[in-house]
Amino acid sequence: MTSRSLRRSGGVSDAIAQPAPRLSAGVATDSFESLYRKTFPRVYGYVASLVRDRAAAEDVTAQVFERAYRRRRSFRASRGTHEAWLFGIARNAALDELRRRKRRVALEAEPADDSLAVTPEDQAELALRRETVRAALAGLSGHERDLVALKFAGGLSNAEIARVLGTSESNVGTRLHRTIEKLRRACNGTA
Amino acid sequence: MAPREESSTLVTIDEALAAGRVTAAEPKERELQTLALAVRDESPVPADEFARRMDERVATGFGSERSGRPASAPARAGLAGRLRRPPLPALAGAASLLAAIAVAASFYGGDSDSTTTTDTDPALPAVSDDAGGDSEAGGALEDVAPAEAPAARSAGAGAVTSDDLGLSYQSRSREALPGRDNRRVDRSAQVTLAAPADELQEVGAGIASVADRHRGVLMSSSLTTGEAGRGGGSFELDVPVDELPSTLAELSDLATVRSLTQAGDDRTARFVRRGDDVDELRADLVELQADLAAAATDEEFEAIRAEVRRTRDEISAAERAFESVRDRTAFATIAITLVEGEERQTGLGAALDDGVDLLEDVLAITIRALGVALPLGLLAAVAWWIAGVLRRRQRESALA
Repeated sequence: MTSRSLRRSGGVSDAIAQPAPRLSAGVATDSFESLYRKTFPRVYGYVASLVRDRAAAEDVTAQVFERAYRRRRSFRASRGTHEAWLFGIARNAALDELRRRKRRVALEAEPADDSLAVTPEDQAELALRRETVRAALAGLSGHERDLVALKFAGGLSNAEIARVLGTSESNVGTRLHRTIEKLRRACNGTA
Repeated sequence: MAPREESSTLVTIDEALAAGRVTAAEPKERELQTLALAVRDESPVPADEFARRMDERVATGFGSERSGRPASAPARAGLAGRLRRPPLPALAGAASLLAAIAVAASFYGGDSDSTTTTDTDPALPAVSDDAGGDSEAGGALEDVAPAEAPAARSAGAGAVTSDDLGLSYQSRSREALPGRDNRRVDRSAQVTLAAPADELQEVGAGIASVADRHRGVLMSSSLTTGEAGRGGGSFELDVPVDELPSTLAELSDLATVRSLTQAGDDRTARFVRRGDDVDELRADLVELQADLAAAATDEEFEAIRAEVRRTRDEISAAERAFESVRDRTAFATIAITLVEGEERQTGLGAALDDGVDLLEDVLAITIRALGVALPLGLLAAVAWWIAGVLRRRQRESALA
């Protein structure tokens, strides 16, 4: 959890810094609320990064937490952390939504995020860097964008990402390294 | 790509994400950390209104979702999808279990000390039960024309007509054509009965009574009693074939049945063949007697008469063979071995024995069910895994 996400999480930011609940099996209702407060902005960020549509991201995020709440008793600690479990649900829901909206999303341009709009006070260098990063991100494939979203928007560890993607941690590390290098080259090339 | 470089990159990035700022001193590492922070800063954040709405819904345990505003479109689609999608693993498991139980039950039905075997006469061509009279053997019989009635000749040996001879045997043997209900089967049974030493005499007498009641004959009997542990006997009964099942049922009421074996030897073809033999010999005899009447010389007459005698002997032998087959198939032989056994238990002991037997039966069924269920379960697991992989790939096709 970072200072930026804490700052940008609005009404739930107060409780975000709480440690994640650790239960052997199932998630109690109060623990679920704690999990929600800790992960809500990150889940939204991850989902929005994938579906690239604010309204759809809100729908899917709401669906993710409702589904997790309904299935909270099915959680098994032996299968990974609460966050890996929750992001697994989020990924499935986002991909399902993406499949439904695939044709439309392909035709739409990258949505502008008001919260990220460059203000007049921003320095020129910062604005340029943001545009560069956005362009580099837009050049990623779907799988690479999924990986980047899990790592940077979801804030998951490599082990948790491996659990969500159903692959090994070393494979995640390799793919992540390759994607970062691709981003770096794209940024340097653009700049 | 060097693993060390990869690991270093990941560590550098994680450090920056954890600290929320650039911490490295190396230019390249600083560049990576800057990039990582920039990428993270590009993550969309939820609107305040949406965050407030979600807070409320979580606080109420999503309860207001049912009565308040309608569920979102993806939620509705998810619910509909769940309803449309049948619980395949559960259905596959239930089907496997049912199949296993059915197979185990069918196996269990054949597990008994009682066995029945039927040997088909190897000389008999393959005949299906519904073949009617069109079987090969039957066809052969149809080809045998009734012996033509020779002209009766006055001769010393006397006239013999086909009406008196072949037709009677042929018609009787035809009744046993293969494929018809009245097949000629030599049936036999071996029964081992066990009774307490002080009941052996009574059981032996009971065996004789059973033979009488079923129009049978006690062909032989031997019974030893009095010396503990060495009592027993053997009996051999001949009973009409149609009385065999009821006779065995009554015998099983006399004592505990240790084993029961039934066997059947199909002698239909042999029966038909013997009848044909008699018919042919009698036709020969008619011809010989005609020749005898027409003999021109004494030498010729004597030679033909000797042939007639030999033919008559052959006819007698063939008739005996025919009747032997007929009698063997008309009666069933039951060989009974009577042994000294434990007294039949009643009350608590019997109940315990029944309980143990029941447990053994349940265990046998369970083992057989597992024998079927395990491979089926393995197949179901593989199918479930493949379905999962396909479902994941289908989902991830959205990322392509």
